Amino acid sequence: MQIKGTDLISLFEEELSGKVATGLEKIGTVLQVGDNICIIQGLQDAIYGEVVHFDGGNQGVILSLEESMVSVFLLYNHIPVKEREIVRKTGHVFRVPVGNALLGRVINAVGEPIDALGALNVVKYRETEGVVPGVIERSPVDESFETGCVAIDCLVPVGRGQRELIVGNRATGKTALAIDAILHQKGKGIYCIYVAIGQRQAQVARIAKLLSEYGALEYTIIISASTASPVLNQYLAPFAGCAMAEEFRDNGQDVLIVYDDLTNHAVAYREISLLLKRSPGREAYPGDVFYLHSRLLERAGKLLSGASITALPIAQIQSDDITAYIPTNLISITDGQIFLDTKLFNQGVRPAVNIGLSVSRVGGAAQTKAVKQVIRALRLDLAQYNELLEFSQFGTELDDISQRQLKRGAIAIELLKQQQHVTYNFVDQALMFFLFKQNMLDQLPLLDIHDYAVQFTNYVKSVYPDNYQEVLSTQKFSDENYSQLTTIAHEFSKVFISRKK
Amino acid sequence: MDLKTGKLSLKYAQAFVNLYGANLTQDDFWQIKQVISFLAKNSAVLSFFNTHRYAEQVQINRIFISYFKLPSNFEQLLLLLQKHKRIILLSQIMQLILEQYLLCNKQVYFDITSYPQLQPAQIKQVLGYLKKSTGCEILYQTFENKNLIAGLKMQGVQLLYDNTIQGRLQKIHRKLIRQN
Repeated sequence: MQIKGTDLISLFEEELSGKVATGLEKIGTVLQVGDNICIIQGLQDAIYGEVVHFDGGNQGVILSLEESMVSVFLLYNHIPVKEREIVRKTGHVFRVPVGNALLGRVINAVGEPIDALGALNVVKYRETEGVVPGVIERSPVDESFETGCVAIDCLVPVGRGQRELIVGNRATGKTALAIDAILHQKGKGIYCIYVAIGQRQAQVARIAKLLSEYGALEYTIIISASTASPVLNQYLAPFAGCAMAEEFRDNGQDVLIVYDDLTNHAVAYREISLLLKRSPGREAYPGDVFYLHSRLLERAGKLLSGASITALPIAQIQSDDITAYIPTNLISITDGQIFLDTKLFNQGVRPAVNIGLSVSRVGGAAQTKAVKQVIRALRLDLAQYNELLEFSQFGTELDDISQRQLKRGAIAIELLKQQQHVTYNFVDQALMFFLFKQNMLDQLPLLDIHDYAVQFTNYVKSVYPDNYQEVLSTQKFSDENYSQLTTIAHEFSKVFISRKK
Repeated sequence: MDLKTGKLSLKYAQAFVNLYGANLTQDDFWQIKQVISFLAKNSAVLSFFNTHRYAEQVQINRIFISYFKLPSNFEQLLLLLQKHKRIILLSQIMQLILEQYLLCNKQVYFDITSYPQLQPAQIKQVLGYLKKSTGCEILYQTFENKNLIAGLKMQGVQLLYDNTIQGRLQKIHRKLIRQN
């Protein structure tokens, strides 16, 4: 950041017009520095999590209190800390800037801008470890949260205030799915926070550019704690993001927060714990790694006031092993998981959602009625399809019913496929599966299915806007509308075939 | 100095104070202080302690102790550090011994630095203030430092009073570093 002459003068004025030192202040002195951890002698009345300032300009957070010394993790790598350097307490725990001024910005875990767009006009700060709303203040998850992804909204629906884990191997589209969910919130009045933990800076820059291109950055905050940043920043980043989300929620807003990813967060916490010489447990993680994530994700939820924080934590697994330590912890904390399968991804099914292993524990109640009306038994159909598909690979001759089931399953899979950054609202999704339910897609070649369904939704939207609007406003198909849509579907079928010819 | 040795030095200092702390006097305090300031300027002297012959080690230690009029207990500490090849920690350990000594005797040491130099009446006033604020007996040394530009700075182990122009400029410097 460029320092202007006026900034320096105002700093001089501010400092010299301030009160003179009136008493002795308590200080600590640096006893030992190394591995970004600093042992400080003194500061005996310090509090856990308190921010300390070093005389040389660095800052740190107290993460361990001992009899005659405290252990502090440094917030900056580039500011050196010297032996016997003076350390001052600030009297407050770690806090970050919050508010609307952060929207559209890329910041680090400390709340400093890193997007070269100038200083933040922040007026309010909030502690990163706040009070979690209690049972009385909370409301059940009963309002739909649209991700724009057909496979998720139809089969693993997410409600506002839900915590839904996205889990999968590397390069299976986890981040893409979360980014699409952010893109879909445009014009819906939902603020989004994307927390990148241990990601490459180029990846974060790519995401910021993408969101900007799609006009999604204006309602999004990106918090980046890249691999190059100190481990403390990676540990603090999700808590900082959550504090920002809580501020919006307290102002009556709905918020979506994406933690990408919590496996890296657990690794950062493991590093901190091992450096602090805490006892290692399974896979060398400390004993409280479960509590670390549970206290973070418990802060999401819907309040009685109607405002909510919906959390989409991401976890990476190795070799499809969903039973690894951190993923199982997260699965048990969250209200469901979306499992992305490498096999499906390689088969060209995008998003590669494995329906059998994905579940939403509370989202069903929040799903719109229109979608519910048309996807009834879809999950069962897909399960039967997968079973039959394996069976058919033995080369057995199948009866007509089985062949029909296979055909129907393949059509459903085609409908669930979706291009990246293309999202559909619930009416579009409902209309696609309306065709499926009415067996209107059975005669079509598989390659045409998706095009047909998308063109049908556009046809209804443009030629019969009243029918479309009715579903949009009432969120369900009335009997009359349903029969009209059947007629429209037959009409469109002729249009489509004539177009094809 | 290896910065990863602070905790280790503290252990040596605590062990020394536990064994011999009760015998340390205020005169010893000032002698140790003198050794620390000597070693800060002449750290190369410590290389003489790195001899492998026990007889030479003993001889060098005795010369060192008698030259600085240190208590004889320090011979044990020096031999231990030589044995562990950690003589480099001596200065830091002595500093920590002083801090432990002050803590045990309810005393506080302050470096009183000012520019211009304080008058005896002003020193008396400052000492009265420090005694009242800390509730402990005050040990002090006064220094004049032009780098302060103007003002008074009093620094103890865990307490600091800084009302100097240099201190204020450093505060601005810290803010600017953080902004960058």
